[in-house]
Amino acid sequence: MKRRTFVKSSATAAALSTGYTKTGWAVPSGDEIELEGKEAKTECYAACPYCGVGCGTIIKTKNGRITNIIPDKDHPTNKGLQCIKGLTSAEAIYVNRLTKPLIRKDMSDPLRGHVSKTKGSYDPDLFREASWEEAEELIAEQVTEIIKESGGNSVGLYGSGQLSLEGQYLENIFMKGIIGSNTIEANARMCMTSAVTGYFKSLGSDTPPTCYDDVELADMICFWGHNARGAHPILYWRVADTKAKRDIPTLVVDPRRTGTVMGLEDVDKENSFHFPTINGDISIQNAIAWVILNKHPEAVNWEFLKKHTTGWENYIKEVKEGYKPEDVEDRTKIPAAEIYKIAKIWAEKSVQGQKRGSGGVLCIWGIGYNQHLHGQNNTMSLVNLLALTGNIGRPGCGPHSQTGQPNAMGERLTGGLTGRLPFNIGIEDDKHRKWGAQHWGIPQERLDAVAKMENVGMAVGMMERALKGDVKAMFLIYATHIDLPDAYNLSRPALTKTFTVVQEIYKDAPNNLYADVILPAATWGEWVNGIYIQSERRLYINEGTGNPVKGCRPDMDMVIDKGKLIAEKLGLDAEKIFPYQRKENGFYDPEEVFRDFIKASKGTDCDLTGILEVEKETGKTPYEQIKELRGIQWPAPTAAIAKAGGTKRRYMGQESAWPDKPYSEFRHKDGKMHFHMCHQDYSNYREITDELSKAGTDPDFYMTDHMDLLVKARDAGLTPELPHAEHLGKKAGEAPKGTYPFWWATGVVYEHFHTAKTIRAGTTKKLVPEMYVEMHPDDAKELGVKDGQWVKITTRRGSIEARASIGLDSAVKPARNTVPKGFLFSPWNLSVADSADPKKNKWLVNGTTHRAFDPVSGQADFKKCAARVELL
Amino acid sequence: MENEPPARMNGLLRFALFFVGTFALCIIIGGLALVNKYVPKAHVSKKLYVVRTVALSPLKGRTPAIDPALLKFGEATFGRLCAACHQAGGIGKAGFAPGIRNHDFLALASDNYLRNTIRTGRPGTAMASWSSLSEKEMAGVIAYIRLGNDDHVSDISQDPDLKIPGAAGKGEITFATYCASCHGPNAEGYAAGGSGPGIGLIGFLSMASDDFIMQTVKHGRSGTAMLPFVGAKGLANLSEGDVGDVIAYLRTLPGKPVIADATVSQEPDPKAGEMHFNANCMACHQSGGIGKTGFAPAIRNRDFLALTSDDFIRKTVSLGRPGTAMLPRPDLSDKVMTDIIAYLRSVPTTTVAKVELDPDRKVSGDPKLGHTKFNSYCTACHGDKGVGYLAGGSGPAIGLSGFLSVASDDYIYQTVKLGRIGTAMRSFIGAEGLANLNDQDVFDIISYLRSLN
Repeated sequence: MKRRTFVKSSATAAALSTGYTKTGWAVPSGDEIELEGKEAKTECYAACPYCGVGCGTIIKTKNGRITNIIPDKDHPTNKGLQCIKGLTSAEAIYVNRLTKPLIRKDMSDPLRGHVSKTKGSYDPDLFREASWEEAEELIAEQVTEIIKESGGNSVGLYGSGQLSLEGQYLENIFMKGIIGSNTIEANARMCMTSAVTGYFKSLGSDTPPTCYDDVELADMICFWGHNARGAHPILYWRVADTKAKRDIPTLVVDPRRTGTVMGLEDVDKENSFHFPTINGDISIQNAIAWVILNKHPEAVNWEFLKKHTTGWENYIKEVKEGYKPEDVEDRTKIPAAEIYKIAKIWAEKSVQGQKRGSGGVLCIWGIGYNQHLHGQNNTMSLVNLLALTGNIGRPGCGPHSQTGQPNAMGERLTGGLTGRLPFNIGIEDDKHRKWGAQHWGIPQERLDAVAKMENVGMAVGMMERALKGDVKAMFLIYATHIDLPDAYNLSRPALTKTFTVVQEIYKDAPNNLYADVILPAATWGEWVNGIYIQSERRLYINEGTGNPVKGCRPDMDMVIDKGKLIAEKLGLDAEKIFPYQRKENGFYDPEEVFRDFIKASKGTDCDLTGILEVEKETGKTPYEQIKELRGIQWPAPTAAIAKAGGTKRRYMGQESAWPDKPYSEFRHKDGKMHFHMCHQDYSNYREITDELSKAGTDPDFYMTDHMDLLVKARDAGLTPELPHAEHLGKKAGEAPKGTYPFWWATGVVYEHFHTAKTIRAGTTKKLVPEMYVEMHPDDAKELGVKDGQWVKITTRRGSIEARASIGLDSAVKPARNTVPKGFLFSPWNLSVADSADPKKNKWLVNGTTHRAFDPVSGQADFKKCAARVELL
Repeated sequence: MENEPPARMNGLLRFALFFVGTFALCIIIGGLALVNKYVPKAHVSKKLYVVRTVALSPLKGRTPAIDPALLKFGEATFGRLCAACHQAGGIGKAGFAPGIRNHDFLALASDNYLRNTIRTGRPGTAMASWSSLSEKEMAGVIAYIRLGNDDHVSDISQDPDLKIPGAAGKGEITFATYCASCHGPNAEGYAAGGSGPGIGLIGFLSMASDDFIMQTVKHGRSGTAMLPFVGAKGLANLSEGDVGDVIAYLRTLPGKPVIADATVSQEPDPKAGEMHFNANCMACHQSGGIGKTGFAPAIRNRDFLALTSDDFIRKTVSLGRPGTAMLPRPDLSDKVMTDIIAYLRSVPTTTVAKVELDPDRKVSGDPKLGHTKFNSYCTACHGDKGVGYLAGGSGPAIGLSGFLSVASDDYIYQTVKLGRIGTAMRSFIGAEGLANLNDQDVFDIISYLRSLN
């Protein structure tokens, strides 16, 4: 957009022509792909397969084959706009596909203490091809034996926010109902669970109260730990457009000067603010509250506090005692004057919204904000500040958590996580367990037993338990293990030991390195249909060709088949649990499952039964209704609400009017929103992080054995590591051995989504092809690193190689952001873009990260590790 | 398509005849005889071309078989040219465009009525003159409009020569009570925000006989908001005398200018421009000119206006965009154009985008590379070869000659660079762009577009 663009582009061209890459692309393309040969629609309506914004997408097909993607101009979310990932998502479908079930010749057999010698390689010679029947029978045999010998809880599952809701719902029944295990996790754990548990504690339910249309109504918008420009572009563009139209003030809290920061400044520099804090969010929020309480008390909504909340007296007291902006600059890293300034605007806009009955302060946060070992507190602290200033329960304001996965919200709603049942209710709830047994067709004793099982530490804990031998079999379903931290010391040795079943689409997927059995899966666009839920609680369909690559099956179909086989072997009534039959087209009908899901939602705070009433009235099936309305936002407890497209916003007072309502406005028993004071106290920082650093370096140190340490770190609002800042300024490699002077953060880049598809799509692959590390120019000078030079980033646990990208004029694309001094950033998206083969793979970002996690939400802290820079 | 070759063979003859026919039409309203005379029977067989004379009698059993190929062609033409406003299937949209595949309407409207409406348009509304339609297109469209509406046609007869007496003064009061809420206070229709069409405008009144109006009010239009108003079963129990009064009142309207001439200033007047915009442009470009994705571009848009000269807008309006729903409107006077432009430029934005455009700049790129890049980055919205909305795309036709003839290289380049705020068109250049393209990428794409022209 500016002059620098031109300079940069010519620089890139120069770099390209002078021996630019040292690493080629591992991902083959242009495979000969044969399809099942079934008839397909020429236009399929779907949600974009990538981020949690959920843009309406039309999949065009020709002769049953997906040809291209068109943005849906009639979808209320994106209105005909889509980012480059979504636009090119068809490019990643027919490449590098698996087509036959594969069985590793040397399998791990945990019951007999055998560990495969060939794990860590996916060389085709190490596998033999098998029929579906043989592979499924083998899985059922092995898993049943493990259940009988070691109990159901020794079987783990890592699911995905990319599965359809129907698949997720059945996976949860499969694990908790059939296998009898509480060890079910999903990549939602690394993405959103801090928002989940934070919402539960504050609001009483995992319900994001806002919707996207609030963007256009808000009087002030804040992004917390969220580079929306890169991660959720459509949402960012809606914010930027609103700012251009109504000139509203915006705040971005992010250590980096990101595209989001600069884009909003481009619109209006005067009222665009940027707080480049590292880990200081909670202190900033408390300091803003301090200023409002002391200088702008008119912005406090006392009536709301007294009528609808508890715990506010204590919150106000502790904020007043400890968070004067001048006193917490060591934690906020923001000059007090800036806090006073932003608090004044916050107060003004809150009053404006309260008076008008619409608008106020809207706070959006992304994955970075959740990925803290105090992630849950991050959510609660923000909700505290919004509630104090009356920014809840009104259009145009409130807390809005933006999910990463297209169906992370589905994972949450179906309860496919440790200790959860569907519809935002925990398995410890006796009444709901009874409900669960009834709707799932399983004996209640089974669920009662699962409720008593533990999976301490959740996703990270599951892998640690596998390391200890406690988890013996593992299912990886549409989720990669490389999104988990500390891969070299945690997930990889764990999966080497377990009997690992992988449902995968690509041949060169990193999961295949550790798979004992690989089942070839159909991917998005190839399904019959299926629901995704977007961040604003919008359920939307995913029509597909129903004509996958030959030999592949949808994940939902696989769980039914597997489930029936294992249920029979365990003496359960398979047909009662999964009363589904294959249809003429050879697939199960996801709409049958969806209807059962809706029926089961009756009376919960995510009641969707209005959809079935409408079906009775009009004959329109649930999918037809959702397609026609371009989505229904849960809940939709009555026909009238379902017809109106569901419930746009929560906590607006409407809940009282719904029939069979088992809870009050806020879903806590007292019907109120709960304040929980969150603190930051750095007095024992080094001491605690020194102790935490044993994770991943001392093989006998399991994080889950030190939950008290995590609680201590969480309550003080710390980071997993604290860099040796005193050694900054030295030449690369000259900082003393064992010191890690830099902050090391990982995240995402706009052109890519996660680590699998966009690195295989030609267009996005070309735009950002290789691993890079963003570095401050002063740091680069001191280290002696030139722009574009390959360097090694090393932490206590592992290292990666990356090209140094210095400033906005860097020759290394995308050169979109700048970082503060002493801070390094790399995207994890390119983790296996060089090659997934460990012998060649030098970019595995999660080989470096720390496994410390939030003790309640289970989410790992990928943002604030410590690293050193070495030359190659 | 099967009819194409003869049409091409006689292209020259056809053009000449067609020109004369159109010219004749301009002079003689309802010049059916002339049309009949000049329709070259040599290449449009009688079987294909069914001309109805005056719809005096019910039309049951009338229809000779219509060539399915012509029907198909008519349907496609309708979809291409009419459906944008009259909607797919011609069902119309309240407040926007009337339903024209409505059997009550078709019972009253003769082919001649349809033909003349299409040829001359409805001045002062978004219904432009479609005098450019070929005879085949015209016949096809009419055949398509009639399709399926003849079998259960309402039993209505009308006498086009009947003059119905009435008192205009009384009619004005009746109109204000019963009609104005849909048709607008001065019967100017959609332009006044009404849900019903402009029945007080000259175009309609010059075409619709007294009895046409009477029968419409008596029988209503099933499936629309226009219900019967006459008699005990009517919406308002009006008498035929009341309707006569309303007709007399309507007949007095065309003389009254909607905007009083006396108040028209010589300076550019954005207020007057807004009224002209609403009457002429709003139907497609939407209220406030914000556009509608997949339908009509946003033209009261900060970034569009920053790039666009007054001359660009004037040329676009007077030449139209051939092959799209944007018709040439040379009928708009210079003053009206000045006011509309003033209105567009009164766009309410807080921040101003300033771009210095070099209309003479010529970029050089590789059209072959540009083709590949266009397919990667542009076709998802602008369609294959940039044909735009007609291909189902959400973006406008940037690959057609209309756009390419008025848009300079720098205009296209700057658009790609700047994007269009508030629309699906984002910046594509640089790190903040939708695709982080560099200048050369865009030059290649421009070269490719130019190669399409």
